[in-house]
Amino acid sequence: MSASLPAAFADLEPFAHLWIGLETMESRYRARQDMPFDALKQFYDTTAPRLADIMAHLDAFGSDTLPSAEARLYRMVLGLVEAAQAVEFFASARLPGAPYPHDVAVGGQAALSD
Amino acid sequence: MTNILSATPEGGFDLGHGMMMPDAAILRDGRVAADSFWSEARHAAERDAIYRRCWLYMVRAEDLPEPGDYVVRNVEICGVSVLIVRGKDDVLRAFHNVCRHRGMPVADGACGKAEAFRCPYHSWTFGLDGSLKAIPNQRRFPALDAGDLGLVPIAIDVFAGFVFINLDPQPGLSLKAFLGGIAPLLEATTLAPFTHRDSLSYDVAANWKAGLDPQYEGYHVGTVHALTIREISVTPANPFSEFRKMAFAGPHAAGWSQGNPSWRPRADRIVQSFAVQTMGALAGRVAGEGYPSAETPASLAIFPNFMIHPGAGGWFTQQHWPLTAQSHRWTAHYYYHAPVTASERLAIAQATAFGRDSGMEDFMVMARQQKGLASGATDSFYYGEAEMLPRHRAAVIRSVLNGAQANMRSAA
Repeated sequence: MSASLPAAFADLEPFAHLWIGLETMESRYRARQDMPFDALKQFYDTTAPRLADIMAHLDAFGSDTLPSAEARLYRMVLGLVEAAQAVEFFASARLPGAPYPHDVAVGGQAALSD
Repeated sequence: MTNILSATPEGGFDLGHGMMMPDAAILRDGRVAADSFWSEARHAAERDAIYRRCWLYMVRAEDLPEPGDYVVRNVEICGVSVLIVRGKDDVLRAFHNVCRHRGMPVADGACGKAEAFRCPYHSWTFGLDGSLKAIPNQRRFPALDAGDLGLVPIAIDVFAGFVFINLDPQPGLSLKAFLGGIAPLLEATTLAPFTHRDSLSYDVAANWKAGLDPQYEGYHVGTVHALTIREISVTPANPFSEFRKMAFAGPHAAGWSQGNPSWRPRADRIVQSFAVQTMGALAGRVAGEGYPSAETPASLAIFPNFMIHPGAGGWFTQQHWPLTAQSHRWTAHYYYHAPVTASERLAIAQATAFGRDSGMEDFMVMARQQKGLASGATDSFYYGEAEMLPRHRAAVIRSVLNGAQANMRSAA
């Protein structure tokens, strides 16, 4: 696998492929529903403790002008947001009892939050 | 003076049918007919007496800043597509999104910017003021007077940046009178500084009033949101997450929560902790810019289907639009101050995801509730005294439908 993340976060490379292709909240939410909980948990357990370091690194760049490696890292931590919903609250990838799969449509200016 | 603010739910209300009193039996007992959540006849009656008569919230005025900016909003229960557009004179107008030639919608998509609206069927073209500007090959319509064939207008008015429409060709009362005593609380909802917005929508297999109910009370929080919101809302002093205060203004209502001021995210919830801390820093950066205060109601309920709440980073508004007797569409907007850093954007993403997931907790419950009610097992259900907001709403709707039926009888 070729390196896609900034060098300081090369240890997170095994998880990058899960998230860096997902450009929308809808696609990340769907990916979370499709992933085994253990995979989300492993990603969370490895990445969440690095969150403050990751964000300090990203905050040093202008928010609209992330270099490509940093943009991939940011998309990965947006994936971490979904993984964290599963790990921190539900102990399950999917909301217990929710229809699978389901989509919550995103509109308005939501796309800007990418 | 109509729809006066009161600490009790017994006050009269006016939706444009004249002054009425909320149904006394429902207010007293909290007992509501189960078929009000599933019957087709009831659905049709609510369409005619409520959705075709009340002022309905559509959009924020700042979403249409420039001449030519437009949005299309569908009021599905009435089968109506509403086109709202800012004219070259800066005036907001609303029209039925229907070409006067053969009925085709003239505006596509949910929003956009236009110089004029050209019908995609035969290119009849309408100005931003709704007037018919061009009929291709007009000599083949020798008898038509283009001056009479503008887009059909819909009543529109704006209060504190909130744009409302009324599908009644001749609304029985003004928006200001309709809002009545709830207007100051709406005016205190300062969304304009919150220029970043996440918007979500989801179709729920439950009646629209079932959709509203969890937004009207805290009673369900300890159970339905045991994994999410419970710890933010439930305290030893307030184990059932009751409002500390309720107020009623005609058909509208508000509830103020007691909250849990000592709540902080659990330390092992690393992402939530980071997001909450970052959102606090964002608030510090733009201190005082329109945030909810201690006097902001946790639930501000503008009849029939518009809710405003304090949000994780500013404000949260939602609507529950009836589709069929047993389904509705949830539309929600989460308002935040514009993020500057990647951290702030991540905090917003976490806040919206948390809102989405706790919303899904409600939707899963109400879809199952819907099946229970529609099974016909019981002929009624109950709202307790801590559920006085939904009880009041049920009493208002009961009286409106009784009154509308009485009006029809007297007209017959």
